[in-house]
Order: sequence, then structure tokens, then C-alpha cells
Amino acid sequence: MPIIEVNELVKNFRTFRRRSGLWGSFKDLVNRKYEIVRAVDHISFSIEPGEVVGYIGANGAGKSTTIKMLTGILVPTSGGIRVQGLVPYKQRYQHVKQIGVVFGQRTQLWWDIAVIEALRLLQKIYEIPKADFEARLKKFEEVLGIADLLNIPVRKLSLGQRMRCDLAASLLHNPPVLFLDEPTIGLDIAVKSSIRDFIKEINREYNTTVILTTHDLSDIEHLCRRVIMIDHGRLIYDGDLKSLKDRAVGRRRLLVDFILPIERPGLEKVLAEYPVEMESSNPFHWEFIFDRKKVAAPEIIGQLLSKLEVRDLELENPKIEDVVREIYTQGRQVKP
Amino acid sequence: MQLIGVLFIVSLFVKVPSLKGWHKEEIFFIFGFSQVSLGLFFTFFSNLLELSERYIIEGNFDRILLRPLNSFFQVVTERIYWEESSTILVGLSMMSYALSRMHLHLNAGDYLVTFGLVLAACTIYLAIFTILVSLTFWFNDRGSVVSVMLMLEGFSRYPVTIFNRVVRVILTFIIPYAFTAFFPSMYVLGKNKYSIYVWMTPAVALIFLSLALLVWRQGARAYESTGS
Ligand SMILES: Nc1ncnc2c1ncn2[C@@H]1O[C@H](COP(=O)(O)OP(=O)(O)O)[C@@H](O)[C@H]1O
Ligand SMILES: [Mg+2]
Repeated sequence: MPIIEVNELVKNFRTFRRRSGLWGSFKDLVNRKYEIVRAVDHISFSIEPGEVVGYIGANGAGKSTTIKMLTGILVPTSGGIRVQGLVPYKQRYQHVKQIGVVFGQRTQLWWDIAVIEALRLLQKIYEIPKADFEARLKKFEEVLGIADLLNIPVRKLSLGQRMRCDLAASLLHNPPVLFLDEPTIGLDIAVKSSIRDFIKEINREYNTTVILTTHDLSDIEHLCRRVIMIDHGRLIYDGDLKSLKDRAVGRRRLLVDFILPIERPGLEKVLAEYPVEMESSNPFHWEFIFDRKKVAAPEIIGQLLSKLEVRDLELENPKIEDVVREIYTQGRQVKP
Repeated sequence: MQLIGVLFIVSLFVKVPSLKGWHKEEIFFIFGFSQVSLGLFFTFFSNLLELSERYIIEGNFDRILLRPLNSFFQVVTERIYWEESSTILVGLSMMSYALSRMHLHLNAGDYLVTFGLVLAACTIYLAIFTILVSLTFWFNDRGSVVSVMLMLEGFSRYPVTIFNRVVRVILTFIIPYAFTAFFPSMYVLGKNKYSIYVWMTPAVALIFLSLALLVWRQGARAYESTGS
């Protein structure tokens, strides 16, 4: 039996378009013009207990909006959600008692009070027995290294410290399902990896179901066997990470800074014989995307160095945007 | 400090006119009553007025909805504004000063009833402001509705009988400011003519609070959070 079921989920946002000028703001007063943005567009999936699923997509793809509906913050425009048999926004109290939530962008703790006080408040709110509370707190102190942070007010914590405390807070009541929205955003490698290890351990020990959104593919590689990918609110891939990687692994991105500015036609001439795509934000900086199976990086680099003056170059692993493009060019949508 | 407080009250007393058959002392008492109930509202519940800015626009309402507690209760109790409690003290001083001028003596039962009426009046403020701020769930508004309402609050300090019929009906049944000071004051001031309104005060409080909670509930469902 799936622990999470999502069926044809849709969310529209109504945004208010301001008109310019004095006359414009007068017209706004009288007759507001709204624009509808569809952030989530007919998404369906289901997740079994104990799965760790990566929910990925580029910025603005609709990841956070989906998580907010799954956690009961937003009411869907249409479609169905069941988490542990409950409809999140309708049975809100029961639902939130059985989930843990962390938003990388914003703390769930109270800004002005010390971490330990916040945790004790949560103990009361979630009616956690004292013995369980002490035991879990002790464990989190060890695994997340938060013992030294307990007496500091939340607002004084660094991002990495705050994330670790937020994670501890989200798991105090030992929820069967954990939602993590960009849990590693802006963190350095050391903190990232301690957070990944912790999530892994929680999943192994309690069979906690985890959905995590990210736009960092390496999070997924460390944690998830299954990946759901969305783009512009639509589901474009749902399957195991391995076959996604097989598609993506060929994609590489070469970043080059030139000493002299150069425009597209010039570059196209230089690289005429090589199958590459090009992108640029300014004529000094170009990015080349190519398929490793068709052309080797040294060939492109050699050609560029021999024809143009290069200041710096860097070879990148595939980004989510590249994987998305790859899936589009292959032109198929995979469903389990 | 205390001297300044007393001087302030006395100067108010001098300024307060007697109106349309109401004695200065009576008006002063009503004024004091409104300060006590309003002061209670501001001290304990005015975090509500942060709904638009701190909770909706900044997206902190997310956090509220993730806790297994009533969202209204959480927003209202998240902060207490002790600095507002001076209004309660000023109001209490005004009431007792007016009582002593009128040589009215209250027994324990009277105090109890008055206390209950103050709580009901404070609940009415809570209900009115809850309905107003709930509108910001639908219309992103940076507090203009609330400030208009705070201006209108001035009406609650005067006997409704000094206003024309339309305003009176509005203040009694639509935006029930008349129940936040004038009607409940009639108990202590012993105007039996109004006793039905006195006893209606708790009922009005409960009805408007239920209505307010309903509006809030619908509003919370329209909450859209914020984009990243
Ligand atoms: N509260 C909101 N009001 C209006 N538009 C929103 C809101 N939240 C998100 N959006 C829009 O919906 C789309 C998806 O956003 P989001 O779910 O935050 O994406 P992601 O988390 O994948 O970066 C974006 O176009 C964003 O601008
Ligand atoms: Mg997001």
C-alpha cells in the first residue's frame, strides 16, 4: 500500500499584475488584473513506505509548491492527495502530527527563543513522552552535533547550524514521513555530507519515507534510488536514478572565459565540425554542452585553444537543466 | 511618573464635554471602559494585526500551518505586548475616578459582572479585528483596512445616542463597537433602559467571535504562501 498518493494534482496561483503610472494604479484600484500561473500541472505519483525519493527540477519548476500541498500548507486547485490515508489540508492536525517538514529557505523554529526551548515547546505540542524526547534529543546531539547549539537563540545560528537544528526538530515526534525542501541549499560540503548521512541513517533505522527536493544532483546521488523530475509543473520522469544517470552521464558542460569578446557566428565557424550546443550570458563567457559519446572534451578544448585566446576553462558535471533538456530531446516520458 | 498619569487623566476629564444629556462623569466612565477593553485586546491579542505583514507577506503562516494546533490561536498568542498594558491602567484609573465623582459604590457582584462585561467587550474587539485581518488572506493588503478600523474605534468611546440613527444601527449590529464600551457601561451607571443591551453583550461577543473564526478558516484556505 502506498504511503503517499498523488493524483492529477494541479495548483494555480493568482498573481496581481500592477499597471504602471498614476492612471495605472488608479485602474488597479478599480479593476485588478490577475494573471494565473500554473505551478503544478496534473502531476501523479505514488510512494511506498521506506522509499527515499528525490523530487527534482530546475528553479521554478514547482517543487516547493508540490511539497506545500503535500504538507497541507496549500490547498490544491484540483486533484487528489493522500498521505498515510489523510487528505493533508482537510485533516490538518492529524496529518501534521505524522509528518516532519524542513524548508531549507526558512526555519520552522521560533526566531527569538533558544533551540532547546523551541524543542521543549515542540515536545509539548506533539505530546512526546519525556523518555522518548530525551532519548531522541541525545541521539540528535550526537549524530547532528547540535549539543553546543542548544542554548543559542535560533536567529543567531548560521545557516548550517540552523539546518541541523531544524532537522532535529522535524524528527522529534518520530514521523513516518519526512519532507525536505532544499535541505542542503547554501551549505558547505561538510555540513551537506553530515546532513545526508543523517537522513540515510534515519531512513535505515526507522524506515522513514523521505521526499526531498533539490536542484543539486549530488544530493540525489547520495540518497535516492528513485527520482521524480518535473519541469514547468509537469512530471517528465519518474523512475530509478540509475537509468536517469545513464541518459545524463553523456552530457557535459564546458565553461570558457575568453580574453576577447566573441559572437556566436565566430564560434560556430571554429567549432563547425563538432556537435556542441552553445550558451552565453556575455561575449566573454561561453558554455558548451556536448555529448561525451559523440565528442571528447579534449578535442573541443584543443580546437578552442588553437583558434582563440582563452583566459580560463572549467569542465562541469551535468546540471539538472541539462538532464531536463536531454529528456526532452529524447522525447519521451517515462512512467513506472 | 504617577503624577503625570494623574495629571493626564484630569486633563482628559476637563476636556471631555457633557453631551446630549450625558454627564461628564458618565462619558468619562465609558471612555475608561473602552480603554480597558481595548488595552486588554492590544496587550494580549494585537499580534493579530501582524497577520498581513509578518505572516502572509513574509510567509510565516507556513510554519503556523505545520503545527497541530489551531492557526488562529497560534497567531494570536505568539506574542504578548506588555508595553500596551499601560492603556488598561489608564482606563482603570478613569473608571474609578468617574465612580468616585459619582459616589457610586459597587459590591463584589457588581465587580464580577463588570469584569465579565470587560472580557466580553475585549472579545468583540478581537472578533472585529479578526474579520478584518482575515480579508488580507484574499487581498494582499498592507494594513490599510486595519488602520481605517482603528480610526473608527473612536466611535466606541461615546454614547451611541449622540449619533444619528444610521450610525447607531451600524455601531450596534454591523460593526458592534457600541458593545465594547457604551452598552456594558450602562450596567454600572444603572441605566435600566439599556439593560437588555447589557445582557446582550456576551451574546454579541460569542456570535461575532464564531463568525470571525469562520472567516479566518476560509481565509486560511485561500493562503497562497510565497514564491521562493
Ligand atoms: N505564492 C506564490 N504566488 C505566486 N506564484 C508563486 C507562488 N509560489 C510559487 N509561485 C510560482 O510558481 C512556480 C513554481 O514555484 P516553486 O514551486 O517555488 O518552484 P521550485 O520550488 O521548483 O523552485 C514559479 O513560477 C513561482 O514563481
Ligand atoms: Mg523551491
